[in-house]
This record gives sequence, structure tokens and C-alpha cells, in this order.
Amino acid sequence: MNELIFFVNKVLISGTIIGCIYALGAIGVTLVFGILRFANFSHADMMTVGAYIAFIFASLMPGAGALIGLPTGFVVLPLAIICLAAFAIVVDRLFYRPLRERKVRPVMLLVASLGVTLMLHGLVRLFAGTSPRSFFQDEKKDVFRFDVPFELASRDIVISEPQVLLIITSIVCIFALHWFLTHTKLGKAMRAMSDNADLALVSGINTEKIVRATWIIAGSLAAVAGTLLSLDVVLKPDLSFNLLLPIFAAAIVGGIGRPYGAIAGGLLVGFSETLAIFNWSILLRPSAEFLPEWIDIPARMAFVPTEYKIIVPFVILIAVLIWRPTGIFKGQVL
Amino acid sequence: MLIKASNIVAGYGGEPVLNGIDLSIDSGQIGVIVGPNGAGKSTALKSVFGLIQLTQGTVSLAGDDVTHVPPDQRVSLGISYVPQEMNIFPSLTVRENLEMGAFIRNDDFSSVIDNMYDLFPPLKQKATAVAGQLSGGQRQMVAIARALMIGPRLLLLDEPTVGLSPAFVYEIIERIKAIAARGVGVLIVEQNARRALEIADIGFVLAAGKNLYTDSGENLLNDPEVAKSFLGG
Repeated sequence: MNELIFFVNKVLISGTIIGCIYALGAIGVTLVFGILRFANFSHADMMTVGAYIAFIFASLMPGAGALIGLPTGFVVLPLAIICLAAFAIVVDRLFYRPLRERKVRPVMLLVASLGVTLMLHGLVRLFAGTSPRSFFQDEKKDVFRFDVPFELASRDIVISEPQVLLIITSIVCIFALHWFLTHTKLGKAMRAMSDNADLALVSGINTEKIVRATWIIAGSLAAVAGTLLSLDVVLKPDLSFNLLLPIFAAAIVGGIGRPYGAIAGGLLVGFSETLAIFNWSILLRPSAEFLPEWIDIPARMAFVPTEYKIIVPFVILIAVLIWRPTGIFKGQVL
Repeated sequence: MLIKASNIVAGYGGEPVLNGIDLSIDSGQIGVIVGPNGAGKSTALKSVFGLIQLTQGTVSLAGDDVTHVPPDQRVSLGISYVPQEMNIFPSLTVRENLEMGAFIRNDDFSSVIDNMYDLFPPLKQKATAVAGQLSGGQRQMVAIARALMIGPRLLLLDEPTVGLSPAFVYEIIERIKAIAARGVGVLIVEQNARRALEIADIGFVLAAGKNLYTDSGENLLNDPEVAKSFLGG
């Protein structure tokens, strides 16, 4: 039983957590691609910036969390969302819009986003330094332990409060986005423009307004993902830079330009990663007594060592691009 | 005149495709642009909508000069354009496609949608279907209905019957007549010149970016010169 609980903790919970982060990131990437036709490399660093903005607010009002009984970093999330959404629009005005107005090819915007990535990198280090920080310096991180009512199970299922908040917030964000895209005029127009930008223009749809809405949504989701991730782990300048590849893998697996595909892709990549690094010998160990003596279960039986888990999204990405370049949900071909 | 394009010279950079053409139709009229491949038929339609920059000439809508008005603002003035290809939003439902056609409207346009369902009955049953999965003819209906959602004064159609089965061609042609009967000016580019000229109040025969003949559809059909050169004898 303990082995199974270990599996739940290490694979089900961890996979859901990282899957949610990837999904939130991939939605932002895929929406920006759908509307603006370029792969926004700066999205992962926007997540980091969002987390730092939340950290600043949390430091400014350290008592906010205790009032409601939730972590301060989570309570100030709405403020971080507003700031990062505004920041995303400012970045667009400064760097992307001038290029759009010159009608450059999308690859130019992609290169511009690389530049933005480097700038954000520098900005964070300039203002916050390189040392890791924690939202839980003066606060206790609540951890929920669920006792499993079986005799053989002595371990608990463990999930921390930030992880619970992450899962709930992700679900809320996804449903809110779904409602926005299917029930509001602006949301439908976003889907329309992603479908056929020329026809959207010919229909009189105000495309700059749609672009603005896209940045607001992408920025908001980046703030949510970055802040919740830093609540779960620690806040450091390269918090989400390493997430860039899995996020793009998730967006492409799901079908680029397809928000629902991004959610599926995020969870797929997240679970693949946790399954690949899971030590399977733990699950096999109980069967040792039934096996003949000459079979020895090795101590570690993971598909991929933890430190190389980045190859998992790589493999998925390459496999998808070879066998199904439009992704699960039939998105655009890059 | 509802729309009057005079002495249009335009192209895509490099040699102009249009070398001074004139087009004009009145409300409720069907104007048809015919001519051989490469004559500049689609380009002429695009220039009326403002999708390409004119190097010379003027376009006026009901007497007002709109030569320098960008296409998205021409929509607000009551000009709708249906491109030849990719003229629907494939992942949106039929109803959402119509709603997007009405994007610039801020009033309640549900009666207009019902109107479109009356005009194109197949769309009513398919209202919640994803437009990309419809048949070619039904897609064309979605495309035209989308363009009609603003209640346009002028409707520009680029080869609306291309690739359709004969039954749908008849259906679309009948609908176009009905739209014109409501007082909308309709300007059509057609590959099948004979069929198009049969419904044309005015036909414009273009060749090499110039007006060759401009006359009523009936006269053009009966003109032996036109018949010999453009209608296959």
C-alpha cells in the first residue's frame, strides 16, 4: 500500500501540479501565436516577472494573508495579475506593435521576443538579485496529510496548501477562459481572428483591440502560473526559464493556436515527465518475494534520471512534429 | 450611383494589374465583372473594397469619396466583401460566423440572424455546427450571410459559385438575385461568364486590366464580338 501512496504523491499529485503550470503557460503561448502568429519566447520570463511582482506586493503587505487565512502570495495574486497584464501591453506597445505596423514577417517578432526575454532576464536580476527567495519566510506553509484508511498504509497522501490552490486556480482560470472564448463578443472575435485574420479584418473586427485582449489574457495567466509555481517551490530569477521548452512542447502537442489543446498538452507533458522520472522499482519491490531469486530488482528503475527530465518534452516535441505536426487538436503547422 | 470607381490604376507593386478601369452600379443592381484569367477581375473587386492601394483613380460610395478609407472602415460605411477563398471562420459555429459578421453592430441583431436563416434555410439546421465541416455550398452560404449581417448597401462577391455543384450554383445565384431585390447593390466577379451575365444588370468585360465592354448583361450576351472572345462562341 505504501508503494501506491508513494506513487500517488510522486506521480499523480506532482504530475497534476506541473501539468497545470505547463497548461497555463501553454495557453498563453498558443493564444499569442493564434492572434499574432509568432512564438513568444518571452512568455516563460513573463511568468517569472509576474512572480516577482507578487513577491513585491507580498512584502509590502505581509499581514494580508493572515487576515483571510491563505498564503499572502496568493492573496496578492489579483494585484500581480493586473500589473503583469498592463506590463504585457506596455511590452507590446514598445517592441511588437512598431514591428506590426511595419508589417514585418512573424519571424521578426519571434526574434524581438528573444530580445524581450533577455531584457526581462536582466531586469529581474538587476532589481531582485540572483539569490532565491521564499514567500514563506515569515509564514507557515500549510501541508495537508490525508490518512489512508488501510491497515497496510502507514504513509499519508501529502499535498501542500499552495499545491491545492494551484490546482483550484488553474481549473477556475480554464473555465473562465472557456466562458470568455465561447460566450463573449470579444472572446469569439479572438477565436475568429485566430481562425482567419484576413477575414476578421474584412468583417470590420478591430484587430488592435483583439491584440490587446490577447496580451491581457496571456499576461494574467503568466502571473497566475509564475506566482503559484513560486509558492510551490522557491522564487528565483530562472524560475520559469527552464519551463520554456516544456511549455512550447505542450502548446505544439495540443495543436498550436488551440487553447483546449494547450491544456491537454500541458497535462500530457507534465505527466510524461513525472512518469519518466518515477522510480518504478518502488512499485515492483513488494513483488520481490514472489519472484525467483535470480531476479534482482535494481534500486533505481526510472526511465530518465531526474536531472535529465528536460529530454522528455524534447522527445514528445520531436515525435509530435514528425508524426502529427498539427497536434492533437489540429492546430496550425508551424 | 451607389458605387463609382473611376480610372483605377492599381497592382501589387511592380507592373499595375489594373490600367484605368471604371466600374459603377446602383442600389439593387447586380454588376458582374467577367474576363479571361489574369484580366484583373479579383483585383478590381479588391480595389473597390480598399484592400490594395490605388496609384490612380477614385472610389466613391453614394457620392462620398472613400478612396483613402481603409477597408475595416468601409465596412462601417456599408460595404461588405466576400473573398474567394478562406471566406469563413472554420472553427466557429455557423451562428458565431454570423455574429462575427455583425461585430461592428452594437444593437440587437438576432432578427437579422433569423433573416439570414430565412434567406439560407440550410443554415438554420446547421446553426450550431462548426462551419469548417459544412459542404462547399453551405460554406458559401455562411460566407455570404456573414457579409450581409451588417445590412450592407454594397456586397462584393469574389467568384461565389466556384467549385460548387450545379444545384448549389443555382441556389446561390437565386439568393444573389433575392439580395439585390432587397435594394442591395451586388458586384460579382465570375469565372462562368455566360451564367453570370444572365443575371447581370450591368456587365463589365475586362481584359489586361482595362474595360473592354460595359453594357447590360443581355446586350453583352447577344453581342457577337463578346460571345466570340469571351463566351466560347
